[in-house]
Amino acid sequence: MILPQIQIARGHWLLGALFLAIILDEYLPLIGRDGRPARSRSPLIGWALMIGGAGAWATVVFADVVHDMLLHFLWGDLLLAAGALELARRRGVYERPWLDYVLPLAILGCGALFIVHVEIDPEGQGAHWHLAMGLLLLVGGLLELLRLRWHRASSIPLGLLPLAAFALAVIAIPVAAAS
Amino acid sequence: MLLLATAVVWAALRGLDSYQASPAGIGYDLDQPPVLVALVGVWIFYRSRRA
Repeated sequence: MILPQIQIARGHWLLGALFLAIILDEYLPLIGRDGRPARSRSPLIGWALMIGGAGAWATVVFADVVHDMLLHFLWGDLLLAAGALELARRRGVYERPWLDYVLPLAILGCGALFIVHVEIDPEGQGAHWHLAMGLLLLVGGLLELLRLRWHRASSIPLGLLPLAAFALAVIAIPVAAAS
Repeated sequence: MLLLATAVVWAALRGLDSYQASPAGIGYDLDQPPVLVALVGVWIFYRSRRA
């Protein structure tokens, strides 16, 4: 069963909205009732990552191009693993310093897979979109890793900009470019 | 608020499709770029009020 392109586009729009919600929840400054900056512990984000992963896996069933099947499977793996770890952190059942790196590394991994997608199929429809989205994820993930490494307490993380641009690009992807 | 404004402008420029009043139709109604951006905006606004 192969999905019509409009359904593929709808899937991308939904995943883009999930991603936008995830990064805004994680990276927008949140001020607690005591007036201090607080980190969001909403378990919805873990769920959103895993739902995104399940959506990417579903593409393996519906795709008709072998590299699309493989890459969406790997995207699904990354998102599910990140979602499980984020859910554990946000529920407070597993607290480790390295969990801070989970989301930026997942973002970097997803960005790298976009570049692989373009390398495998440079002439494919939507190749320019895929390249732009991959670069935005790579830049956003790298900026977040650097921010964690340097413990810089900026009010709004720099990585938020390319990541929000990525999310809006996925939400805005034209029907013809969705693959 | 920025997201909600973006959604309104986007909806005005792109237009919104309306589908049948069935579960799938409601899903399609909601799964349109401006509506999705508005939904995320509402959620972020709600979250900021709750914190």
